[in-house]
Amino acid sequence: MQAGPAAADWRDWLALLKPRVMSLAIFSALCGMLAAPGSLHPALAVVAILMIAVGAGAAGAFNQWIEADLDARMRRTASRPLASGRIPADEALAFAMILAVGAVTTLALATNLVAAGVLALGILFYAIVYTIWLKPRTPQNIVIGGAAGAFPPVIGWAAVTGDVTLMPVLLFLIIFLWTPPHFWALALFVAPDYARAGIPMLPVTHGPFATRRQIWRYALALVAASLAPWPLGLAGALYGMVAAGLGAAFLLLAWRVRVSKVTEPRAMAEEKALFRFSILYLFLLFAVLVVDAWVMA
Amino acid sequence: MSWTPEQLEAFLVRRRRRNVAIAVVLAAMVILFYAITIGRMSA
Repeated sequence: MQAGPAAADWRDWLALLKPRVMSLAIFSALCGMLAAPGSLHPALAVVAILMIAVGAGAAGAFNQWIEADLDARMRRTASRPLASGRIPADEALAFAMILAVGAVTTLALATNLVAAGVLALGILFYAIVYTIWLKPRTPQNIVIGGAAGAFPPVIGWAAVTGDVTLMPVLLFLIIFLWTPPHFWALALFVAPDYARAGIPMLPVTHGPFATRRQIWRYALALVAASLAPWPLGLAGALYGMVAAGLGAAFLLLAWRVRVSKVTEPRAMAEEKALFRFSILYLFLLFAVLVVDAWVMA
Repeated sequence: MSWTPEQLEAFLVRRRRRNVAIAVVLAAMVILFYAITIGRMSA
């Protein structure tokens, strides 16, 4: 046993779990759970949310373990606990595996096998399909990455109902279609950073104008998917009207990005506006979904 | 293998922290499984 100088503390282990990603997973899983028909014992609901958060954290830890070499070469990520060497790679891998297996097993015990199975699928999808396979190979990486982030509301829903019906699939689709315009808006005004790191983001490989066309197309598809629950009778008028208003604002901002001719990243005001609004959009859309479900009930 | 007093002190501090962390994790698991049991019995 060695008494090395750079010992990790609890903050490093927490950082390994990517807490910001965990917080989005917690919020969307909670919304899926609250919008689902039926009820779950509060103690089991707390355990389920905790396990979804731990599962998302395990996926984040796998991601950092796989990308430690890349992180060490980028200024933004060089201080991460694995990239900087504060946490040894084998300990990080063991930590991620224990958390992943523990989260899936405990979720199965607390709720049902469907929710646990979707959680396991989400972790594997993020770690293998997204991080290892697609991210370093294709500028469409963020499209597939969106699928990885879209699992939590489905898990939350399945934890309550024990099945996956049309509504959780639509929730999945909404996050899936929201991710590209959200991240590409960001990628447009930080494109030089991605180019330096050698990550094939769409603005780097295809330029700003092709990226803006893609943002517009995904924005149209997103708004269509967000409105679908209303005519399908899966959500009420309250949800439909708020989703229509939010969607109109999203389309307006996306159109301004679509017609923008700015090529200097620091001057991309429309892209920054769309990026900021997209976060508020998703938060409000899911929040009103929950309120609407309670009103309908 | 011989350690300097500073290395030994650093090792003892790390071991103490690890022991505390393990205790906290075990306590959290006891609470977690207690909550699952109560929830399952009430459902």
